[in-house]
Amino acid sequence: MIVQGLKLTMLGMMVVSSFLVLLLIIIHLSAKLLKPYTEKEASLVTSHRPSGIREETPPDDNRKLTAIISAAIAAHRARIGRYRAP
Amino acid sequence: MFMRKPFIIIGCLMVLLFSMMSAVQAGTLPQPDSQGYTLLPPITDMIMNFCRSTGLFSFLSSGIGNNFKGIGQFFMIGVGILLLYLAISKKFEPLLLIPIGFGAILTNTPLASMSDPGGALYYIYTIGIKTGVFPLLVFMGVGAMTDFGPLLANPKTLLLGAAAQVGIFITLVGALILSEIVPGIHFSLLDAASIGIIGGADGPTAIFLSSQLAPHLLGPIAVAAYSYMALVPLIQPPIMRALTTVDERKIRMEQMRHVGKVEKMIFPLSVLGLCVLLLPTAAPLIGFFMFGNLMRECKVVDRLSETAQNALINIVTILLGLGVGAQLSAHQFLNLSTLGILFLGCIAFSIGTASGILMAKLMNLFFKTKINPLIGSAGVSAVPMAARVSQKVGMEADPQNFLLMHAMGPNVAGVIGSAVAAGVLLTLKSLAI
Repeated sequence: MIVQGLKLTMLGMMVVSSFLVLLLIIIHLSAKLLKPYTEKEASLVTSHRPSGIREETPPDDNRKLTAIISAAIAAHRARIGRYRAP
Repeated sequence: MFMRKPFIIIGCLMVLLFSMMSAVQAGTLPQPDSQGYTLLPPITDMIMNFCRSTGLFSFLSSGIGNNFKGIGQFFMIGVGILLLYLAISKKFEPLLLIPIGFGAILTNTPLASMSDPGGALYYIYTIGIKTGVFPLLVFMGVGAMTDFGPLLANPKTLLLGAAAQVGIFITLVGALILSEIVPGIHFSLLDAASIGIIGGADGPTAIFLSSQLAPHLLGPIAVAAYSYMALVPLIQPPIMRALTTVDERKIRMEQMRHVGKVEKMIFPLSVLGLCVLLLPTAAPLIGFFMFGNLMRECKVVDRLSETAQNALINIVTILLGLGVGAQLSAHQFLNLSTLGILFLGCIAFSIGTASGILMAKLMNLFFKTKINPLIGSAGVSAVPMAARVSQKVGMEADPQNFLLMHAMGPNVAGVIGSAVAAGVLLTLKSLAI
């Protein structure tokens, strides 16, 4: 029985790894194929930002601020249970 | 003097109770007369019959000659109360443990027969869990709540999600070893597969798989899965600290790129396509998960998406919890196998955590862009608890290091990984038939 379990382990890990590696390739391909759309969307997002803020804030602080805001948003969402998997 | 009074009262009550019980044993039931009408017995017999229908009588009387059934039910009600305590007081997965704990109390209520054919819990279990419908609907809701943006921005984290699934398969082997060496524990290959999925740290997946492969172990497996998911903040940090150096924990990860709407919309269809081509047995889980996510990302069915991630998932969660609680009967739970499952569940979580971290360290040897190994532990699923643990342990080393969004990548990759692993294990069902 243990040998059967080991066989299943081998097969299972092979399938899980190959599935996720293939998915990784598909994500890379789709990111490359859809790059024009993504860039257009990103530029739209950037152009809607108030320009003054970017110029006044040093790039390092800006990055830190973005990280703090994203962490706070994620923590808030997690707290209210939007991402909670029951 | 003051101390003697309560003892005298309790003694009198006990004498009264046992005299009633012995009288009740000899009590008579109403007999129909020649015209078919039921004649009520004398008032004393009616009182005795009523006493015989109390829970207290059932707890005590069935303990005498019926394999301690009454005492077992009493103990399982205690287990239900313990689950309620953990959920309410300690905030251990309250969304699930409150319905499960209450379901356990209801199913062990003597003479109510709520989980026997004809009882409400029996139908909830048979319609929703035995068929696999409830876990799939929950999975659809989880899909509607999940943002795959962090994963799409850094797809390498899929490898961390894959590595963390090692816990599932090693636990499977562990269950088989345990049944070889421990007398009184007998797990078949299907049982072992269901126990292993606890390592996936994904409640709906664990319930779905065990309902298909080993329904008799559903109760202990669900309780173990949800309990350990709640204990992730206690189980993971020591392993994370042991396997990483302070410098590794301080690694700052690059800002994530912007992920387009079209990319997010195509992703669920790509995963489903891959599943259809390679592993159709995982299609129920992956299919419902990705259906929920497509509703979220396509932005044209916001009403459906809102329903899936709020009202529907809440309703199904209540019913799922009650249905799982209905499986916590004394004869299914009070045995050595349950202890084995609880032990193996802890092993599964620990191995999953360790393998995710080790994979991140391995990736750092080959890739130019460094990954903080702490996010590897989030590959065990347990969304979003495991990602929050990565953030917390990371901030201990460097308070300015924000790993939460980076850890969400392996976290959701772990959900896909455990669904794929469940698909592989589901192939056993056809082999067994």
